[in-house]
Amino acid sequence: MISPGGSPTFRPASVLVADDDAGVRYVVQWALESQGLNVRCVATSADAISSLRVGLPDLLLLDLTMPVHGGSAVADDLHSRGVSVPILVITGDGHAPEKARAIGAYGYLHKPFEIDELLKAVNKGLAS
Amino acid sequence: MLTVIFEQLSDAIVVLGEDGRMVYGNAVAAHMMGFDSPAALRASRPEDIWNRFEVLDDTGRPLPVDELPGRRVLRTGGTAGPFRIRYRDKRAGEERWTQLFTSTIRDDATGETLAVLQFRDVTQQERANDALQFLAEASAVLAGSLDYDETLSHLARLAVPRIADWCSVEMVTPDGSIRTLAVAHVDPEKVAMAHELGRRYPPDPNAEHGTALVIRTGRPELMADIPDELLEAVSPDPELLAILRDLGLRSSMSVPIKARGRTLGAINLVSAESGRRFDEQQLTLAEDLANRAAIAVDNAHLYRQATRAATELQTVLAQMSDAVLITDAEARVTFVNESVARLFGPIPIGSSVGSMPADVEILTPEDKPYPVDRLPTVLALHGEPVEGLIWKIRRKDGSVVVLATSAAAVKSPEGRVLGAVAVSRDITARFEFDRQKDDFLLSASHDLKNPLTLIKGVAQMLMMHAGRPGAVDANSFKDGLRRIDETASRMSRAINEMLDVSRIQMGRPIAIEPASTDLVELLRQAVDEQLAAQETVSVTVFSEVDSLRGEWDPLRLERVFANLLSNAVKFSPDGAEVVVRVAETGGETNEAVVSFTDRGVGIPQSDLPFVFEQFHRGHNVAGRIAGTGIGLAGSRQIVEQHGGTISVTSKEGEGSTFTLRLPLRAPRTEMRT
Repeated sequence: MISPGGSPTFRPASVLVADDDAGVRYVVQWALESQGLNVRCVATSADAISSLRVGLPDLLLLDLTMPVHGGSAVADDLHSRGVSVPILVITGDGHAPEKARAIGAYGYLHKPFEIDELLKAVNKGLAS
Repeated sequence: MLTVIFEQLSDAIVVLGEDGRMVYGNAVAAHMMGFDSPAALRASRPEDIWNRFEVLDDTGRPLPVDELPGRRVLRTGGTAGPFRIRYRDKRAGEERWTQLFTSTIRDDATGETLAVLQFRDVTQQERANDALQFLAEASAVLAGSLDYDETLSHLARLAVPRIADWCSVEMVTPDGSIRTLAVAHVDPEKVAMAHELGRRYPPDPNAEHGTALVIRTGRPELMADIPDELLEAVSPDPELLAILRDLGLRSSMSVPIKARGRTLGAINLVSAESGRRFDEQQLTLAEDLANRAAIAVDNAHLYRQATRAATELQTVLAQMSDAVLITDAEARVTFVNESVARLFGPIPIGSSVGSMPADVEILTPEDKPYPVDRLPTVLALHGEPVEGLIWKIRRKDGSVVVLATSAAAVKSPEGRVLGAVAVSRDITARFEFDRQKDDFLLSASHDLKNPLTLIKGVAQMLMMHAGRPGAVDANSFKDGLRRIDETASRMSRAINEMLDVSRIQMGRPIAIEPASTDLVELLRQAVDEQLAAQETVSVTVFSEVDSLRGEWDPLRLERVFANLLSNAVKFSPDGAEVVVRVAETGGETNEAVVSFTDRGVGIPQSDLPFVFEQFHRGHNVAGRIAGTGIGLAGSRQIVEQHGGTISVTSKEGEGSTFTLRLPLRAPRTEMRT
């Protein structure tokens, strides 16, 4: 369990952020690191898949409209390997709820989101 | 005693002596021969009788006296008959038929051989048979062809001299006047004369008798005896009157040719030389004839109307740009119009709708295979009419056509399915247009929401930490604010580009703002941005000059470069190189020439002419989101608004080269307000 400003009693939780926009990666990384989380960023679905094969984070923040194959390809790869990670979908798309459900995500955020919304959703995922 | 028996009979009995004198005749015989009493008959001389009657043979010519059965039996003896005798009563003017039996007896007293003639009047039957025979022949003539001018003329000739001496057929023309279609008489000279008279004395449509009256009233007219006053009434001059009197016109009938309540014309029958006198029975025959003629004429009209309607329909179908396909109840093709071949390729009559030609693929709008049992005609035949169903055809040459089809079943009045009709419209352009709009909206959302996420996020982060000293150092602070500023600028550029795209999609010009611009510098910036976005494809710029100044809108030109570069990179294989060349033509028409060459998949020949068009979907295009970029159509518009040209050469599998030529000064255009 992580509380804002508190010191972790064990290794910090790790989050993989997959989004093709540099600005989004910057601000999400800043926000999550300020909570003491260990953040790694990738820009493409291919890079996300590689990273997940190397090691599973405690949470995956996934943009659905990444090139080349979009976020759903990442979810499919996890599924085909029989492993799972809590997934929080971030998207500018109007169909977020159905798409998030379709890939088994536990929640979704519409861009542009409030920082406290982001933190609440991330904590929820890490708690499970 | 015999005479008592003879008086009771309903047949006429005449006994003739060897010299032909009348020995005996019963009352019926007296009546038949026009005498008041048997006594008057017996008192008559043979000549009296033969002058009153004309016995005719089968062809209608008078029989010689010696050939008369009554005379013959005197020579041959024995009994003979029945003979069918046709004779004309000259006084009454009518033809009658009689059936005759002859036999001989011997007068015991004088030893003379007497001929006994027994006559039975069979006029009624004979006339009826004759009428049926004539009508049958008339019907055959009328059925012979749809050209009723021809058949009615033939009919008139058939009627003379069997039914009348003269027969004419008159028809009402569309403008309401009366046209003589045919005139018949056994003597061709008389026919010629009749035509001549018709020309010299055109008929009066308002006359109170004859054709004009019959046509006006729609009722037949029978004149058993044509009065001389009538001849006088119709003759405006004595010459005509004399001719008419000369012709010996005796009796006439005029019957209307009527179909479905409308009078189409009239048939006139007139007797002259034959001395025939028309009666009600013959009028009935004439009316029957006219009815048959009416049906024939009406049929011909209906046929002509139907044929014309069918021809008009055929023409409409041939001209339609929509494809019309008709099948029978078993989904076999019975009709295709010209547009079907244009959209689908050739579809033979009789082929089954389910089995499209092998080189044509039927697809759903999402490019999946289309289920054959849900084809529009199949659905319509099974009671599910279809409206505006959208589907795709990929043709032999790879081109794709998007169609909207409506189909419905054709049913008989009892509700039985006879077949189906499907009408298909090519909506490829509209479909592409809609898809581009969807793509644009999707990309616009993407391109605006991402920058906003940064701006909001950074602003909120800074606010959260602003109060707490040491939470954010000054540099991070400045960095955050700088990013907000840059991102806002990026958004602004993106929005401007979207506005340009929007205007270009609507076909409106954009207000270019030419300024002194170094093309080489602009190009290098575009290349740097492109390389920053990806690393798998390299871009090299070869420029003959270090800088190339001209009057161009730098913002718009930069977009054109960005578009061409991103295309080149997108379609290049990993590790390939995109080459950009810059040169100046020099001379009078000094132009900057910039070319972009890639080693990618290339553009098929069939697509090349359409590459710069707004809604063309190329065959090689991997189904990627077009993005908010201006595209090739937009690039062309911007280049042309600068007075320049853009062109492409390409070879499939080898790559493409896009070339821009830009005059150094943009053409002077008025500022649009």
